[in-house]
Amino acid sequence: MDDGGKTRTQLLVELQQLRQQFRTLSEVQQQLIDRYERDLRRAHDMQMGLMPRRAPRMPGFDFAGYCVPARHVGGDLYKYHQLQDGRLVGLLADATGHAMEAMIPIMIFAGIVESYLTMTASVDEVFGNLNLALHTALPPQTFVCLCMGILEPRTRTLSIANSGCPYPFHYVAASGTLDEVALDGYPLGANPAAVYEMARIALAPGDRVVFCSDGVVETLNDRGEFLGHEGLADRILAGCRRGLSAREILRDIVKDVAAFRGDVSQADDITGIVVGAQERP
Amino acid sequence: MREASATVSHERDVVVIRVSGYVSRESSPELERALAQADADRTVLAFDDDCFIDSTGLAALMAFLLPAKAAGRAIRLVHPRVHFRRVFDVVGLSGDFEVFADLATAARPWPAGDAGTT
Repeated sequence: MDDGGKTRTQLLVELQQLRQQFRTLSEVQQQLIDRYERDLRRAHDMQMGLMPRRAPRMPGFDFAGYCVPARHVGGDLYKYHQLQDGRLVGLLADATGHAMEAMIPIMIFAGIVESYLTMTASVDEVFGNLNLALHTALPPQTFVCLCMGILEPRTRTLSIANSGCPYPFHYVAASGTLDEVALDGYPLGANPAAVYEMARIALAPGDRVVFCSDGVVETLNDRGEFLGHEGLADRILAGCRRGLSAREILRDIVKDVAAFRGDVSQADDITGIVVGAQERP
Repeated sequence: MREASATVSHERDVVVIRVSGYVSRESSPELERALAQADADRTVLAFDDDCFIDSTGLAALMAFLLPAKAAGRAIRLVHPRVHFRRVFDVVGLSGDFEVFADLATAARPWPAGDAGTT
């Protein structure tokens, strides 16, 4: 007999029952985890399915894009859109927040922007229209930062508008310098009265334009330091001066960001687009 | 990093809200509480050097800064770190609110009749 008045046999039976209950609970827990993982994988595939499988082809230019969410899903997105008049639109967007709370707004945005790019006569008007639409459609305190470039292959000009994304970089091959395209603007949906400017830059052979999300510049290392705009600019400049292609520059940015981060886990989504200008065909 | 906390103090006719910690969506109630206490036309919102502001924190900031400006309140922003002053530029806040690197400069006397316009 034990202190509780139970026989050893009774205790062994209870222990066996407890083990069985624990096994059942573990199985149920694993099933829930598996289901959650499956749902997240589907959501991840759905989000990644919105992004291009391959870069567009346009004589005289090369392009590269990249997006890796910090978790299964995230709030970053990049897309290309070929207009009927031959111009190519490239966009990089970043919704407020992280993971699922950011993925849903970015999915809403993806649908709206596609409609506007297809239906709006003037792409210049897209930012204003998107801002008003998202101000209504998104939940409070949920915005979308968007940087959009419209490439006109005939004139080799790139028109850029920005609503809260880090400034794009323009490598000017003739001078070997890296300029920032300093366009400020409220994130879309934040301020219905916001007005967005568009900058136009001429692309000469060897020029590169690099768009990155804030997850790149805000990459933290184990000393709590940001990669920062200057850190990113140094890396881009080095790659451009070596004459790397759009794809190679993006590959190096991704590698450098990972090296800078070291053992620190990725905190935010990392997205970039690089446009390269080559000799006229 | 700990969640943001805010303290309110008065310097002459200016209310100073000092914010430290991690500013995110969860900081909204704390920031709103502080702003409600800051019952003045002129307010300095001063972030400490250790203050990290993520995108949800920026959204929370805009959610109360823009209506406050529309209501005629003049608000100055302070962040000692270049990175975040640059973020204020990029997201458009610098166009509507003066941004400073330190509290001493931000809290200097404001021009007469400056409330609501920066």
